[in-house]
Amino acid sequence: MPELTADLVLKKIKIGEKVDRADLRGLVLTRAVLEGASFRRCDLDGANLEGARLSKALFKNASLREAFLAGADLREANLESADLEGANLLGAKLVGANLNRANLEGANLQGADLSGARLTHAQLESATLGGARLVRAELAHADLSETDLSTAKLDEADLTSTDLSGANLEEASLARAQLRDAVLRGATLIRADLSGADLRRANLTGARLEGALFTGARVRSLVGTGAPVVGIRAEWVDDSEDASRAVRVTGPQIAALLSGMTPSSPSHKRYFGRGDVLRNAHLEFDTGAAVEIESLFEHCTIALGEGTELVVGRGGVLSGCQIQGAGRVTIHGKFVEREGPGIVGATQLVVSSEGFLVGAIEQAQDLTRFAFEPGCYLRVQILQAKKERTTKSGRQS
Amino acid sequence: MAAAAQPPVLAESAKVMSRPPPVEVERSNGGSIADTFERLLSSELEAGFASMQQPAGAAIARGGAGADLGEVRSLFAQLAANHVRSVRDFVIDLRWSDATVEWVSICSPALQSLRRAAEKLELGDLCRALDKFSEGLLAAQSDPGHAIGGERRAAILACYDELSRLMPQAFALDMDQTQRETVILQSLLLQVPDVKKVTLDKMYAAGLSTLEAMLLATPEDIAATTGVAELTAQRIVERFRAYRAHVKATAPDAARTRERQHIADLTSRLKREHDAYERSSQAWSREAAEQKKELRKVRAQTLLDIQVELARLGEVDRLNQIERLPFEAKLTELESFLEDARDKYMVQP
Repeated sequence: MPELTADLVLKKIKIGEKVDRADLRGLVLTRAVLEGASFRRCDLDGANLEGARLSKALFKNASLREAFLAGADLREANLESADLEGANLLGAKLVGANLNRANLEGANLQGADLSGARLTHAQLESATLGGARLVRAELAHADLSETDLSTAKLDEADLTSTDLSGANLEEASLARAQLRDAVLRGATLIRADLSGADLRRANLTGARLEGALFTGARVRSLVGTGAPVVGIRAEWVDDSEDASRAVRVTGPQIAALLSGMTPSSPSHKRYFGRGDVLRNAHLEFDTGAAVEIESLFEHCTIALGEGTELVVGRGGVLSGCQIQGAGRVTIHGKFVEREGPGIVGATQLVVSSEGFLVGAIEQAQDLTRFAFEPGCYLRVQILQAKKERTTKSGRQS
Repeated sequence: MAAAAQPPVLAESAKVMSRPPPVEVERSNGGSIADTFERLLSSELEAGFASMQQPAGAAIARGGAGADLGEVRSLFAQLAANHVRSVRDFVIDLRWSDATVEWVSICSPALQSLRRAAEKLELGDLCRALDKFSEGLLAAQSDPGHAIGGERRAAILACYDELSRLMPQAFALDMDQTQRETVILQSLLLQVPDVKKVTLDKMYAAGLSTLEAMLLATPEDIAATTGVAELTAQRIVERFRAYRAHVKATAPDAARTRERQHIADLTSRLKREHDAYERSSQAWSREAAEQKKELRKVRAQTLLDIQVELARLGEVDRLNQIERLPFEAKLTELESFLEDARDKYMVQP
């Protein structure tokens, strides 16, 4: 039983008395007007404060475990170090609230407005924040692991050094958010907006990025996903140390960079522009080179050194050609072989949604990594590496 | 025009009659509505209501008498609403394509007693509509197959629409069905891994917001109309199919014994899970923290199962109450519901 009844609490607050340190467990104060009231160190576990007006109220160090605060007005309330584990704050207004070091583990904050709220070092593990507004919220060092932040608005939020492991950020808006040193291991960022976000030294291992927008994101020293990245949207990303935009990365290099599977600055670049036609040529590119083709190549042989990046741009057409060697090949344009296999030994082959590939592919000795984006045109035969085929059939050399 | 087709009329003498005494609606749960109205129509109110049994045209209702008749009918509808709860449950199931023939024997006693009372109140249209509806039910019972479907289903629903038109207070389903459906639909969806707000929004935006639509949808339909991943769409369909199989396997009875037993089992399970969760919360090890996280999910899943069952029983208000309580109190409330339900779902004579 609570120490004070709801009526008594209301009376005390009306005459300006504090109710600090009181045992108010399970108290029902729905829609009560409690603006600016002081509940410091109170035990309000399981209390029902649905729709209560609590703006500027003080709950510092209070315990509100499993409290029902749906629709409550907690604007600029002080909830520093409060324990809100399992609390229901559905649609609550927490604009400008102080939740530094608060425990919100497993809390329901769906549709809540936390714009400008302070949540540094807050514990939000497994909390539900779907559709919540966290614009310009301060969340540095917060634990957001396994949270549901789908469709949440986190524009310009400070998420420096947060733990977002396993978090669901599908269709979340993180434009210009600070995510330096954030851990996004295994996070879902499908169709998230990360334009202009600062992702320097962030860890994206195992993260899903399909359809995410990265234009203008700062990506220096980030740890990539570790798997081919396809379907991202980005005109350019900033790979400069100081986020000065001095080093702009464009085209397929962005996906490679986000995957962490290529050096961000290739040593040699070669570009074949639109309108050029090359026939019956043999071209060799050294290890570490980056080649982009927007021209028409006919009956050419292209030899790639280990790790060489070859991109057939949207305007590029490789007709009757063969690509050889342990390079990484990305096709946005067209590749049509004359004699198979058209691609031999590539370590990675990506065909984007606009790509067109007709031919046989002989895999690398360590198998080729494939990524085919929905919408691409494929008529492909995938073969094992030559040595393997020899072993199996004992005939082909 | 036949007297039965006319609304009952009150004699001039009824104008001076006082308001009918309040009837304890709760007490009528287990009793017969006809008995209640027989009481109203006999002993203490004999004089006032005697004229109601006179043939139509014997007198014309005017002024206060008309108002009294309105009150009687309103009272009748109020009592009927509680009395035909099982009929509404049946029709809701039927609308979701889930109803089985067991429902016929559950609904029949309530329909018969309501028919008797309606006859005494000379509500001719209602009597005919009830007869037609009951005939449909009896015919369904003799149809081959366990589930009520096809033309039979359509015919019964059409008869029911007529009942809703004549006595919306007792038979209208819109609010009741929508509330139940919303809870069931959302609870089932949230039980599917990876279904979060984004998926829910997409499903509803694509018009997949009714149980009927969900039970008919294929993974390809869902993926094509909502854009959710095929694997998720497949899991959604599987969850709804499992739900349908469970409903079909749970043959109803008038006391909703199986549903109540299922809720009791789920409540026991929830209690065990909650106890384990509390134990993990007390510990400080990394393993305990992981276990706690896992148990939170498990507990939430069981609670969603309970929500589905309670919504099926039309206990949406109870669910709203439970939602506002901390876990320990949720369990207490569920136990109290199971106690109350024993009387509430008592078989009607």
